[in-house]
Amino acid sequence: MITSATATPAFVAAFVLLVLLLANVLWFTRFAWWVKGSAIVLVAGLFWMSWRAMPELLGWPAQAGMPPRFNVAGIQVIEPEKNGASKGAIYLWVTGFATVHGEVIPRAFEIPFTPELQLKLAGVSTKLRKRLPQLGEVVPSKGQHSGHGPTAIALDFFDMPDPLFPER
Amino acid sequence: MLSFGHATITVGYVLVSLTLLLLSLFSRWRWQLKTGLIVAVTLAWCAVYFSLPAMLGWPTDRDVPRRFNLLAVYIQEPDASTGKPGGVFFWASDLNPDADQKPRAYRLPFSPGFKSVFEEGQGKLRKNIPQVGEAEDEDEVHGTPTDRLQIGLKSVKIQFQDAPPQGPPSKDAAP
Repeated sequence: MITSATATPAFVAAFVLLVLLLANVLWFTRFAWWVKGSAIVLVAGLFWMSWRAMPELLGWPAQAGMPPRFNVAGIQVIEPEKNGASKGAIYLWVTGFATVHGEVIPRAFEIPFTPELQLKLAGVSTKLRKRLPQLGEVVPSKGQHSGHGPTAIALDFFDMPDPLFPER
Repeated sequence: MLSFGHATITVGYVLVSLTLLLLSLFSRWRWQLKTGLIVAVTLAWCAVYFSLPAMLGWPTDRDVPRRFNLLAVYIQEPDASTGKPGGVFFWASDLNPDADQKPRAYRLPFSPGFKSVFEEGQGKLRKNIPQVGEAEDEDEVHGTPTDRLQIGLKSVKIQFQDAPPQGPPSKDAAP
């Protein structure tokens, strides 16, 4: 399974393979020059397109891969429209837990709107405004998700345990 | 500005790699090697398909909108012991009506100025006062690029103001 940590190396490896395939076509086949030239143009075009696309993808919420336990950094709830034009969505901005050398970077997620989760998040928002850090936990459920398209998940929220509060 | 989704990248990769694979099968390599190539390309398709969603959700350091609705702030102080540069992260939705209204996560380099501005905005959010941010390019340079992708990025100046109160809908407005 590809995780956030392995995604970039896996993506780069796939493109390295593409270069190796191109080298094979250029040096070990006897196609006409225009076929080989077209292959170079195709690969260059794909590299250019990917180079342009990657920054555009960053920042937008992910639809899968939420950590099993997280700190809530932000909440945005979009309610469904009554005429059915929009099914609504819930956006969460969360951080993992700090490690000794690790940098904590928040990540955004999109999950389908449910009235139950909206109710829970209303309470979480209130506590966050009162500076009570909130922990979230994904309730395990059956089934795998490919990462394409939002999937409903159950979440529970708790106040941050007291020992983790810094002393005043 | 051209914009390509991750589906386009995946489909583009599959088409280009499939073309190269078919051409490669005409080389004089042994069949075992050709079989290996087919397996490797198939694995690469899976790698591209699954790796792109795993890259989503992380903050971008580009394209801060001109006007945005601030949703949340997360400040990470620099850590001298680990050498981590820290950062000022914020989550916002673009107020341009033509833009995607989904919230997007942004990262700015840590600086006392950004920290002060965003802490003030965060404080007002906690008091239930919605904040509208305005960003403009700044000629003055703050810090140096920490990686290759930041080369050429412009510094931005950001300020917040209280969002104007939303009045009742106009009587002339469509229901």
